[in-house]
Amino acid sequence: MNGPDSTNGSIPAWQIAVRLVWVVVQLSLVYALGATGAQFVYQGF
Amino acid sequence: MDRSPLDLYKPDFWYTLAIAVLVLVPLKAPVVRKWAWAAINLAFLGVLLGVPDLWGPLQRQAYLEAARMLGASDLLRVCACLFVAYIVLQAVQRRWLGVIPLALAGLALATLFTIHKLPSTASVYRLADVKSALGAIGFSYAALRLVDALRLTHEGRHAAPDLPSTINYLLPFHMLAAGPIQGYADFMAQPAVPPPLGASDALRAVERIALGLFKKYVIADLLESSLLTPFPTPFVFGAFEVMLFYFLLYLDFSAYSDITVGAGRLMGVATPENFNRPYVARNLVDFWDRWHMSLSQFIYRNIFIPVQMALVRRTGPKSALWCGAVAFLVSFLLCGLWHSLDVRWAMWGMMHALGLVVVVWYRAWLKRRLGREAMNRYRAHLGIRLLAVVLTQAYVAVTLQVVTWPLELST
Repeated sequence: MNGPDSTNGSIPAWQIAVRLVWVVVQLSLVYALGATGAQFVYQGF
Repeated sequence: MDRSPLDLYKPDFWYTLAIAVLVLVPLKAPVVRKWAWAAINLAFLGVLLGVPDLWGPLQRQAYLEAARMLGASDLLRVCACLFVAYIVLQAVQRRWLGVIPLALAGLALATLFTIHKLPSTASVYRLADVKSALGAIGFSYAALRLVDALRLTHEGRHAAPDLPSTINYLLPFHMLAAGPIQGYADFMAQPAVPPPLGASDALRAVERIALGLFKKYVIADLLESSLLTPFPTPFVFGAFEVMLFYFLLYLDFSAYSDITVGAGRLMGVATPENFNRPYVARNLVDFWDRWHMSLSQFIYRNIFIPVQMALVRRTGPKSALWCGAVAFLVSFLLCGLWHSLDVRWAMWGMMHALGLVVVVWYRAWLKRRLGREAMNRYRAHLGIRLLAVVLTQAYVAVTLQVVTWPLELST
């Protein structure tokens, strides 16, 4: 089960920056390449 | 009306998620938080199903017309069903009218499930609308959640939920489209107010959502459009396509789960994992511990164990393996029919059940033949492990073809 976990050890700023950049890259690719309105296979089961 | 709960290019889901995070994270009073979460879930249902515009008729004092519009509203019907579910759960807990509430709930669920899952109901006047609304709210998932709550309440292991908890458990907006099927015990065990959302928790949640979107809309879509053909192909590429279809299904479904788990973490709502690297499963038992875990755990708790225990009680412990085999057959026949009331899905379920029986019997035979130490060496052997993983994955991929193959033949 996954609630929000409370392990908030300090993460180096550079690591946060790299991870955020990767998030932005992923979302940009999704925006650029993603198929409009594509449904998930299991959606609406 | 478009009724897709999760469409990247429609902002409904994302707006609702943003509002839920902004509202729920600062709330520290358990009761207020519970009601706020219920209001958000109902608001999302309103967006999804449409809110009847009663303003015009009310202004014209056309009350009958307003009442008719209200009665025809899917949103109102779903709200009424939620209220009935709440009353039934209360009745089951208080033992009102014996087993009658349970029996009525079972009958209603079976009827709605048949309308939802029987392909031919799509063409029946009036039923088509009901079917569409049931699809929109992910009825299959909500129905299994209700079954879990009814069983645990009936057995006295958990109290029945109050009204907002009934809404939040049965139709949480971020698990609406494709689960997971959260266990009622898990739902009741979550803290009324979650720990504060830290920066690293938030970052991990956002990463999880981004990963889900990336898996579905970039990797899966690119692989599908570039490699999967809509026509029969020669053997080698055909075999590759069989494996690719399975991999695409994994990407698609696990991507949805990533988004759901990430959204749940952001809002502080416990959301179960649904996948744990199923592609490394070394046999079918291992596979079902890793694939659509919330469904397999539901089946284990609510079908497999009760059936197996009932049979063992009747026949004695010596026939435990046979009882297990029957329990697998019943469980996976129902699991197949849960996907669709259709002979192909029944066959898919039977194939998985037979595979599981073979795994369990083979394991029992090996244990008897090798002894514990040799068995441990056998399990740790890398070559055997690799072969087992390849065979398992290939078997799962072939079972999926059974589901699609006759449809392709008929087109």
